Amino acid sequence: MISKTLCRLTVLLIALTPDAYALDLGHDVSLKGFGTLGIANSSTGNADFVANNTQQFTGGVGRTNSLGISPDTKVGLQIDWQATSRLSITSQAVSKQGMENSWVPELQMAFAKFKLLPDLDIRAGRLRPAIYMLSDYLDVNYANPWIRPPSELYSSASITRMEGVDFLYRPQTGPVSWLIQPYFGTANNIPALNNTSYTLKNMLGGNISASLDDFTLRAGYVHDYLTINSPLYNTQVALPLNTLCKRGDKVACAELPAIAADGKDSSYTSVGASWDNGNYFISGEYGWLTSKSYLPTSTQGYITGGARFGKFTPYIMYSQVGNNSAKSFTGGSPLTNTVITALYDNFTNDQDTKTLGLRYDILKNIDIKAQWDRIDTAPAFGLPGTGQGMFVNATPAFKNGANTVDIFSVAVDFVF
Amino acid sequence: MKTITLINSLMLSVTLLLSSTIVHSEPIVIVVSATSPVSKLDKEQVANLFLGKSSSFPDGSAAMPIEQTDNTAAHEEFHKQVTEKSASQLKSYWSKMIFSGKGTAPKEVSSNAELLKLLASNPAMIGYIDKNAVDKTVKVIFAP
Repeated sequence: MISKTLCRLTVLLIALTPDAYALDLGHDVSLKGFGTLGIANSSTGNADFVANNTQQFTGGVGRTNSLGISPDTKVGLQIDWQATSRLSITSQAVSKQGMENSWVPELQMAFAKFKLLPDLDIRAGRLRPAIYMLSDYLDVNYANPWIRPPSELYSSASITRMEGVDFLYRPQTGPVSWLIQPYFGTANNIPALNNTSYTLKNMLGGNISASLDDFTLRAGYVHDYLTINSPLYNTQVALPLNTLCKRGDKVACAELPAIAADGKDSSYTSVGASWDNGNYFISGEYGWLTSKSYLPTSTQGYITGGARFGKFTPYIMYSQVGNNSAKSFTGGSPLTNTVITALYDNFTNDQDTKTLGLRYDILKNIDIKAQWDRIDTAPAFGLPGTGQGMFVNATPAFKNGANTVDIFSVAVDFVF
Repeated sequence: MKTITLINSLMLSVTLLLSSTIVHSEPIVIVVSATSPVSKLDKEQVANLFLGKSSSFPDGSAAMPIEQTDNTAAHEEFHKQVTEKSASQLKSYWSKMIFSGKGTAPKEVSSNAELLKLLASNPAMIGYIDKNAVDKTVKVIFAP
């Protein structure tokens, strides 16, 4: 009896440790996947915590529920078809908490990749624009030390998909290996809060990273023409300014086209560095967003480090976001000033987060993590109504002051 | 009798459980087909090929790395000596490459014999085997 149980247990343990990375479906087609089951708790009941700004307006963790799986839980499936030795087709769908309580899977990638030269690939189709250091595997929590990437930086230009092309060029110069990745494309109707959607036309960007031994340096830049389709903007900003303009307010007439996000130049620049010798790692990234529309210019950054003791990886992180735009508009009539100032204030999200966590590798494709985040929000320029940081669904009291919130999270990540 | 069965089962279980952690520190060597023009690589070049950071030999010709499955002693020894990545670091690394659509993990074989057979068929391939498994169909281009 005992021996049978032991044998079963052994078989179970071996079965749980797959050798392969993927399920081979035959005909050079493979199915791969990743996912996270995470639960988070917030110390405040006055605002909802969300993992990043692609999540829904209400229903986060905090005000709506004190405990929830919505910030971090997700599952992704990827099918790869190696059509020939040089041509492959990849598609990836991810189901996670998005806007409006939706867990509907979204097609994140669907592209063809062709090897032009041994060290040069071209990809065309739906791609994830590589805006950040971790952009193209942001959802694969197993691949990162933390429960979630720092939202201060990774929410600043969270464009998860574009239709376009990119090149992956990997030359070697002496001991330095490079990845040079230019890209061009358009991101249509990226959903955001309050039925808003973003369209970035003619995104032209690129990034370069250089690796030498344990060091990697990376720099990235992207320019695009930004259009924001926002019902809230239309009713609360465009409509009043239009009315004021018709009544003869020249400043309102001039500001209306000046601040509108109707194909205005925008850009995102970032620099990053990482060092990882296997036992210890440190990495950091700093980015800045500029826009000629009403979207504020802002800067974001994080620095993180950790140590690997066998299967345990304790880590720390500090991340921060701040807005640099004008705090108020004073160039017009009192009514025009009020409308435009309210618009500026609506986009402020100043906050910083201190993170302490521990990762444990249960099996070679499954980990468990526990993390404590202390988030401090502050009103931008001390203005009331701008203290919500990156929280959503906040009470007026939460918006008016500085807040300190603790988030406790536990998550299990897997890949196959 | 029952006791003996129990002990046997226990030992079998323990052996099976430990087999993946016990390292036979048999030295390994990096090999290509004997017909390949490549004669020598350094550790960095080999690691870059097996991590998909480069896809060509120094002369510019295409290179195709072949892994051994991760239950082989050669696999463990190779990654300890050459890429210096643990099993979960390697898994993290390939997760980044695979799910970003940037690369795919190398083809795998499950034994030295299988590798030798494959290498003989394609001079672009590069693999690693136990040192004592080397035969005249392949040449050693790096020994860690």
